[in-house]
Amino acid sequence: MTPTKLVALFVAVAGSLLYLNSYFSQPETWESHNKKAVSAFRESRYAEAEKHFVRALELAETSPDNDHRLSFSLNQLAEIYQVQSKFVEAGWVLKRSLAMDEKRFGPKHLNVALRLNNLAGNYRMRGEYEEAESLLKQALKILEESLGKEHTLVANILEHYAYLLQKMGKPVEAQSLERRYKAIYSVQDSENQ
Amino acid sequence: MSDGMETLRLLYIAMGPGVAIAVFIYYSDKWDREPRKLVLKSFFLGGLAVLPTYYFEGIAEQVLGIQALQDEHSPLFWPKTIFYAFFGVALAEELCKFLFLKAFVFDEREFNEPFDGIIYGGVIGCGFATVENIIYVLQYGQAVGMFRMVTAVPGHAFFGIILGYFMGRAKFSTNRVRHLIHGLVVVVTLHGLYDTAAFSNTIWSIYLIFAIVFLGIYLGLKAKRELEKLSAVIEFSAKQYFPLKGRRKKVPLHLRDIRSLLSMGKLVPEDNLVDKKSGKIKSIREIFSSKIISQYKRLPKVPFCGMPIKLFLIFYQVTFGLYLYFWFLGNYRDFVSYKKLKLNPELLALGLFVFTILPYFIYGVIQKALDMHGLNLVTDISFDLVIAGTEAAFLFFQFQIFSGFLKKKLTKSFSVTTIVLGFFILSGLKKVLPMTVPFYIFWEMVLILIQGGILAIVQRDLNLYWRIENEQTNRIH
Repeated sequence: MTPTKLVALFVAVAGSLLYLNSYFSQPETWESHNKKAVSAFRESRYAEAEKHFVRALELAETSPDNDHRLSFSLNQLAEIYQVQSKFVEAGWVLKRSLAMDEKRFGPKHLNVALRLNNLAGNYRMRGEYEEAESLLKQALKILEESLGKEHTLVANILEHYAYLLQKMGKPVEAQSLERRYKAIYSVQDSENQ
Repeated sequence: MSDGMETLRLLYIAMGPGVAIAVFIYYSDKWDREPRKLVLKSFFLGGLAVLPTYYFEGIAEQVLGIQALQDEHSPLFWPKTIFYAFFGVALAEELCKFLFLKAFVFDEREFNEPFDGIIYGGVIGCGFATVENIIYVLQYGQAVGMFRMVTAVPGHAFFGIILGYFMGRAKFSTNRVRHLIHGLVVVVTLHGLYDTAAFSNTIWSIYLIFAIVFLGIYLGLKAKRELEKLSAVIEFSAKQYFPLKGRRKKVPLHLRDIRSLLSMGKLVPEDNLVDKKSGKIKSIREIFSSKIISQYKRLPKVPFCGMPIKLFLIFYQVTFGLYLYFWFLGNYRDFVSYKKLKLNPELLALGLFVFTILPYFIYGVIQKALDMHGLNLVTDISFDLVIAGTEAAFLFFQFQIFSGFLKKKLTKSFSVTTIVLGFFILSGLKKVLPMTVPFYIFWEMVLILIQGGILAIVQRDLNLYWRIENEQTNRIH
C-alpha cells in the first residue's frame, strides 16, 4: 500500500468517525430548534415547524433566565397552532403567555394589552364572542390609559373590535368604532405625509 | 404533505442537480467510456470526503470563533473570514477530494488517458456536492436547495473537473508534481473566493458568488473541451508505435490500442515505445501529453453514438428534468463538432440557464424588495408561462437546426412544432402546479415523465441519425 493511500485511508476513517461522533453528540439548542421551525414554517411545513417549536419551548422552560425565550417560543407556538386551526391548543398557549407577561410587567403594561388582543382573536375564531369582547375592552382600556386615545395601536384594537361586533351582529356599534379608527388612521397618514 | 413525503421531496431536490451533472460528465467520454464501478466509486469517495472536511471545518470555526465569522462589526472580521474561507474550508475540501482521487483512482488501470481526469475529478466533485447538499437541504429546506442548485452544486462539480484536468495531465506528463500543485492552487483559489463571498454576507456577495460559479463553469468546460480533443486524437490518430516489451513487439500499435493495453494492465504510462515513422523512442506519458492535440484538425469527421432512450428517460426523471440543460448542451456540441457549425454550445446552454433559472431569483428579489409576498396568482402564473415559453423557444431553434440535418437522412423525422408545443404545455403545467394539491410529488413526477417522453422522440431520431452516419462512415473507411 502506498503512503498516499495510507494517509487517505486514515483521513477517511478517522475524519468520518470524528465527524459522526461530534454530530451525534451535539447538544440540541433552543436556537437550532427555532431556526429549523422558522425554516419549516416559511415553507408551509407546519407539522414539522410545530414539532420544533414545542421542543424549543421545552428547552426554554428548562434554562435559567429564560423569560425572553419562553415568551418568544409561546408566541411562535400559538401562531403555528392557529395556522393549523388548532384553536384550543393555541388558546392554552396564549393564556399562558398572557399570565407570564402580567407577572413580568404588571397588569397595565403594553405587552399585556397585546397579549389580550391575541387571546381575543383566538376566542373570536372559536366563536366565543363574549369572552373576546371582554378581553378587547381590557386591552383597549390599557392602551388608552398608557398611550392616549389617538394612538395607532388603539386604532388597531378598535379595528379588531369593530370586526368582532360585525360578527356579533351589532353593525351600529361596529360602524361607530369604524369611524373612530378611520379618523385615527387618517390623522396618522396626514402626519406621515 | 406528510413528514415522510416532505423528506423524500427534499432529498429529491438535494440529489437531483449533483446526479444530473455526474451523468452529463459520465456520458462526455465518447470513445472509451469509464467502468461504471470506478465512476460510482469516485462519486461515493466524493460523498465520503464531506465527513472529514466538515470535522476539520468545525475545528477551524472553534479556533477562529464562530461569532467573529457571523458579525461583520466584530474585530478582525475580514482577516478571519478570508482565512477561514481559504484555509478552513476551500483548502480542506479540495485537498480531501484531491487526496481521495490521488489515492484511490489516479493509479487505476482504467485511468488510461488524460480525459479520464475530467470524468473522475468531476464525478468526485458531484459526489461531494450531493452529500453536502443533502445535509444543507434537510436542515434548511427547499429555498436553500434551489439556491445551491445553481451555485454550490455546479461550483463543486466544475471545480472537480478543473482539478481532474490537472490530474489527467499530471498522469501523462513528465512533470507530474507541477501539474498537481497547479491544479490544487487553481481550485483552492476559486473555491476560497466563492466562500469568502458566501461568508461575508455583504450586498455584493450574491453577484460575486454567481461570477465565480460562471468562471468555474467556463474554465471547467474549456478544460473539458481541450482534453476531449486529445481523447479524439487518441481514438482516431493514424500514428503507430512499436512497444519495446512483450509479445507484440513487432505489431505496430495505434494510440487507441495503447489506451486499451493500458486499461488491461499490459502497458503502464512509464513504458517506452518506438515511433514507426521517425524511429524516436518516447514514453506513453510523453505520447499522451497535450502536445498531440495539434493533430485534432487533421482528424476525419467523427459521428457520435447518441444515447439509449431508456437511459435518457431515467436521467430526465431522477434529475427532476434538470438533465434538459446538459442534453441541450450535449446535442449542440455533437452537431457543432460533426457539422463544423459556427455556434457556441456552451454560450447557448448558458443562455438557456440564465433565461430560465435566474429570472426566478430576480423575481424573488423584486418581491422581497417591494414587500409583495403572495403577489397575485395571475402574475405568478404569467411569469411561469413566460419562462416555460423561453425554454420552448430555445428548444425550437435547436430542433429547427437538427431537423434540417435529420430530414436528409431519415424518411420521417419528428415535427418540431408538435414537440415544442407539447414540451411547452407540460413545462407550463409543471411550473404552475400548486404544491398544495394532494400527492403533489406524484403529479410532478408524472408531468416530468411525459415531458421526458416527448423529448425521447427527438432522442430516438437522433440515435437513428447517428447510426446511419456511423454506418456510412464505416463504409467509406
